[in-house]
Amino acid sequence: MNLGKDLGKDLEWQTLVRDWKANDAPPPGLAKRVKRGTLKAYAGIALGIVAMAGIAAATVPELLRPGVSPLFYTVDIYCLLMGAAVTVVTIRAMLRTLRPEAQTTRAYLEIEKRRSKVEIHAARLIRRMVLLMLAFNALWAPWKLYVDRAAYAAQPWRLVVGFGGEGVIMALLWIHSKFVRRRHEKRIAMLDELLRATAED
Amino acid sequence: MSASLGVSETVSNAAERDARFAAMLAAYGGSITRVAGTYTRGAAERDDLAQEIAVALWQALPRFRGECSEKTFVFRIAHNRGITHATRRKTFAPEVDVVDERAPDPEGSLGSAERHAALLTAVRELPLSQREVVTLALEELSYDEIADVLGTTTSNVGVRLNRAKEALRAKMGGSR
Repeated sequence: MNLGKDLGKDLEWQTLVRDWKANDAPPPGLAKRVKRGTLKAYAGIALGIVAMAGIAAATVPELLRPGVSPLFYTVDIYCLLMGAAVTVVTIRAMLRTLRPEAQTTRAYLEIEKRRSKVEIHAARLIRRMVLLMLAFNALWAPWKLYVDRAAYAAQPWRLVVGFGGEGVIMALLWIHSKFVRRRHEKRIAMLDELLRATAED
Repeated sequence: MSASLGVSETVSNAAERDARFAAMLAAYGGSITRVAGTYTRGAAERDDLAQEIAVALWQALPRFRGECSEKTFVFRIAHNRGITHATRRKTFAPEVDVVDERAPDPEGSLGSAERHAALLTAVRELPLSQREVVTLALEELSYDEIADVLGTTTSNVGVRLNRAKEALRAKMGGSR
């Protein structure tokens, strides 16, 4: 009797397997799309790095103009470099996420959770750097404007490039860090839910 | 069909990588698409995820050292990318989907696409811990292989799969 019941269940399962495999068509041109997708991902990251380097290249020389105390610009450049370093670390973490190693699912969940925690720490560090830069600029910018007032009056574009560029960098870092922190906090909650679910049995 | 790698072999040069990748897609392209389908809401999103999985497979291929079988390697990457995709969304709530318009049954059976869609909907409604086990079982992986993909024990797979099958039967009861 049990044998009949089990056999019936097995036959039903085989039907489900057959129905499941009835859809056997991968997306057309998948191999080509993979290569295009990989190229696009790397191009996007390279473009981001070039854009950041371009803004920094335009901004830093203006901040290093004569008449500025070495202490002030050392602190400012230090903050910029720290911000850039944290951004690079974040990009490297993103690259690793694009290449998930063939771990078991449970190990992968743990790795992803750790990565998200690192991303949150990096985002917090970036925000602290931006706050430090803001505090520094609140003191330094009026003094710099006063000292270089003649140069800025003669060539106002220097004012826009110097302070505007730095402002853009700070704003981008702030927005990015806020976005990253929120996204990864939600992600950790979901990964925890999955880890609990896989540990239940 | 699948070209297995030996334990000491690695995929090093570009031509070999291309060939191995093409062989893997030929062998597991359908499975990748079906696994992607369990983590997504519609055909377009499923195809995008299938592409992401294939990209991950392509990128992971040079580091494949043959510590596990090729099948395990592919399914681990597929599930892991599926999880990454799912965690980008706000919830794991059951999703509404459509019948796949691209894949009619080659044998011409009228009801096969609908039956597949009904089964897919039922699978998606399962909790994720059951969903991943039942998906691998439907792909005809053994208990050992499922345990190897998920990083758990075969007895754990057995328990989860029995629960998943019962839940699936209950859900499919109304639609079969």
